[in-house]
Amino acid sequence: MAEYKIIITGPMGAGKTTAIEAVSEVPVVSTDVANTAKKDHAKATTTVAMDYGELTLGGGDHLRLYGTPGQQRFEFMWKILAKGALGLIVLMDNARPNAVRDLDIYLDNFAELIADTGVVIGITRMDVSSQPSLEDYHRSLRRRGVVYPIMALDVRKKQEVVILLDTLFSILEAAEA
Amino acid sequence: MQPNTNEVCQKYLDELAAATPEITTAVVTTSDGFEVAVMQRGGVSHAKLAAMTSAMHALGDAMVGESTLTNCQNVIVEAETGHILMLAVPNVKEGLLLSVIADHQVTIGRLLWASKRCCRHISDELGR
Amino acid sequence: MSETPLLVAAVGLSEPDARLLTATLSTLCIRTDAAWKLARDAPGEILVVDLSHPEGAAAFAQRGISPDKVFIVLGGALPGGAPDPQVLPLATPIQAQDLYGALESAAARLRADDKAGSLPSQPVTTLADALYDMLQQADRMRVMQITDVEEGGTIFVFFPERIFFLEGRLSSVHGTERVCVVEAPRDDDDVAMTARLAMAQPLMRLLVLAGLSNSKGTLLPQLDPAMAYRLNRWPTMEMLGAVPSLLKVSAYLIKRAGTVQEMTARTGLLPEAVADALNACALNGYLETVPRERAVEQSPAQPPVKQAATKAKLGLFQRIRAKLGLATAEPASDG
Repeated sequence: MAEYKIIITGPMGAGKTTAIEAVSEVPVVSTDVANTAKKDHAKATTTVAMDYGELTLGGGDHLRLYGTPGQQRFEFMWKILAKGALGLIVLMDNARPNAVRDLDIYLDNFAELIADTGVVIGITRMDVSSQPSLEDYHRSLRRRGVVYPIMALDVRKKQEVVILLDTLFSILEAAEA
Repeated sequence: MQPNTNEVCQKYLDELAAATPEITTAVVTTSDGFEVAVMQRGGVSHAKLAAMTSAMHALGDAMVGESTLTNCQNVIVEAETGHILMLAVPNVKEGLLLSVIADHQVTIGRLLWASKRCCRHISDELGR
Repeated sequence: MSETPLLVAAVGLSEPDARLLTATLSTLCIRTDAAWKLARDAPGEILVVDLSHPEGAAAFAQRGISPDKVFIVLGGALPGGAPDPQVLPLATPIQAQDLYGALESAAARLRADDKAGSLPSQPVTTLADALYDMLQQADRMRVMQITDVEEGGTIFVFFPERIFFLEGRLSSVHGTERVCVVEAPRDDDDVAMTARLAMAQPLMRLLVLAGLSNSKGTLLPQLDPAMAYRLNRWPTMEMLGAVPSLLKVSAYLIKRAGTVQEMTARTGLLPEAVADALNACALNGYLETVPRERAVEQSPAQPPVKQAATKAKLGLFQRIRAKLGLATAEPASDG
């Protein structure tokens, strides 16, 4: 029996919980509590420990999907959750005021996991805010000297989350080649 | 949050610390990890402690939810040289948590009793 | 400004449509460098005909005797078969923007006919080469006009958006058409250009049609099969959808540089599929060459002890894909 895990991170409101709900076979276990910092984000709740979903693969194996808390004061959870992960998905909320700069925070904090495995970046809520553009994110990555997959998606749509995961698996497979 | 919530919590936190000198750090925090009142004798980062308390308690809540139990009240960490208690302050609209770190010279029973009393005092004064 | 006015005749149009045509011609006079005139007594070079009116239908039926004219047609079903270069259909009820665009297209065809006897002053190249060259400088803000020297159709390519609009007709879309290329300024006040921008399609579609991205396995002449390549940007979803091998090749190339041979060996793809993917990346400026020595350092062979673990991991991804309902036709690579 083997256990595998994928981590989904990103700022508050980017859609991490929703993305896991889209593909998890079990009801997602969440640790959402009331958000008292409404000036930072209007969301009613915030994740303080993790979200958890899973897929059974047969033969007793499971793929576990962990969503991290988004706020940086919970970065100790990022380190805990990242241990032993197969790969990373970063979801960015394009409607946030400094969305491109937000990405740097997650790429910096998960640098070790990314170097050892791989990452795919999903940009959500581009229907709410079309700027910054995908090209702006690519430009930011070029400044960092890296190339990662970036795609826009609606995390409420299972098929789009599946494409995101498929891209991550392609990256991870290529790393094994 | 009410204007006097911080003052009330600080008052009872100071009382707890005075009554239990083995306590090295105590924090009242919101359920999403922001500190409301702090009593600190040691060098622990109270901001981090507040965030960790909220995460631990939320995990405890999630585990209770997955089991047949109801209402996570306290989470206890037993270390080699002491204890960490994380308690929910009952009946307070803002959803407060008390986190207490104490060395091994105080028994877990006494620590739990003193911490629960602190929570009760806060709840009596702020509770709805 | 052109001194000889373009004569436009209306045949069988309703009163409202005729008034719209008059207004549109006035706008064209202001906006373009041609003089446009409604032909009342003289025959027109451009005829706007309503097929639902007997006069319009009759004029259209006799178009064969006037091969030098262009017909803008509304109000009826056109005969089937291959598109007629003499005919521009217009949907009803007429929208001003559509009529404007159709008149512009008709004028372009007339101009192309005039030029058909002589070679343009710009150098002539093939569509494939023209597209490839302009893609190497795709970040600049500009409009490229690619005109088919045989048929007169013009492709407007907009950068940096990487979209295109086809006006008129091309002799084919195989990449080998003879074209000349002119760079035009981006003018936000140009109504015609704005209309083309609004109707433009992703450039990738043209590249696919021109046989560039699905190049049937032939590496572009500009790419050296002995060179090592690396990706400098992840491809767009449009590209990934158009070129089946692109996902695997891109995933490989963002981790390390590789030659065609190395990619073929490591990805399990056929060399032709690797070539298609590299062509698509090169055409969009996403490919960089890497010195051979550095490429070799970046692609160390796996020690045997790791190969079993690798195989297990690749099997895992196949199982996860199957669970998510994704196709798993390709077997895991043996590396």
